[in-house]
Amino acid sequence: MIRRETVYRLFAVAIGGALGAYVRVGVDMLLPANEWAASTLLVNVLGSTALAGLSAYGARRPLNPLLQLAAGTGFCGAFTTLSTVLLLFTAMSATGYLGYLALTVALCLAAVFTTHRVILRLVPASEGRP
Amino acid sequence: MIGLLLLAGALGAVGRYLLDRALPATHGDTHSLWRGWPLGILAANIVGTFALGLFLGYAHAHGLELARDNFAGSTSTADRLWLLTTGFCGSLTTASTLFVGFHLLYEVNRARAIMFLLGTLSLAGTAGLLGWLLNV
Repeated sequence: MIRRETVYRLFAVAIGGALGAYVRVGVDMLLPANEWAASTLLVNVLGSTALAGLSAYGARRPLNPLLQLAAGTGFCGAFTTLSTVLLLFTAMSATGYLGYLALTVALCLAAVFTTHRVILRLVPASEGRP
Repeated sequence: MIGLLLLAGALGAVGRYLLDRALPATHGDTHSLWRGWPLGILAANIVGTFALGLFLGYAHAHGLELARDNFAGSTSTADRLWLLTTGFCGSLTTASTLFVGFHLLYEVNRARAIMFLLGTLSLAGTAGLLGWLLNV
């Protein structure tokens, strides 16, 4: 027998994941077609920023676990993608591929570290705690 | 057509969540570089990238164009492959969790975080290349 809580969790991840994939395609459609996968870089930086913010906020204030699953695991996880990045060697020169990989890592990590600091600074620890 | 993309995205995310729940973080002694890796996320990225390589390799070998503009929501192989690649593989693999996971590890042990990042990129990248080369 599957517990009701498990079903809620799976639904939260599914709904977030469906929206994440949908918005990822939407961002791709908004940008003019290009050879260097600009939309993949954009969604990865935006999604990493959002997940870092959510994670830092969660460290300060308790978040609804289902909301965290839907927004973090579901939406941010599905909105960003690693497989597309790693398969770009099929569409790029070796130099372009390695440069794109390095750029993705550098921009996403910069976004994650910055967002984490900013959110921790903006959101003070809950009152009543030392 | 939109419904199928939503479904593929949902299945990819649920698959990643289940892998994350099934596989615990790695153990190892306090100084080990392999300790604390989120194995489920690593597995999702390896499996998803391998699958994407496989699907893209198949499309390439059969001269199929998988651009979003060609997607017609039909049961053609090209449309099914677009859903599997952009929808499912895109959702199953994740960059945000990888980089936030890197940050979490980095705050504990920098070398461990760097090993996790390089390990993920090289293992998943190799899996993707293998899938592409298999060409079934």
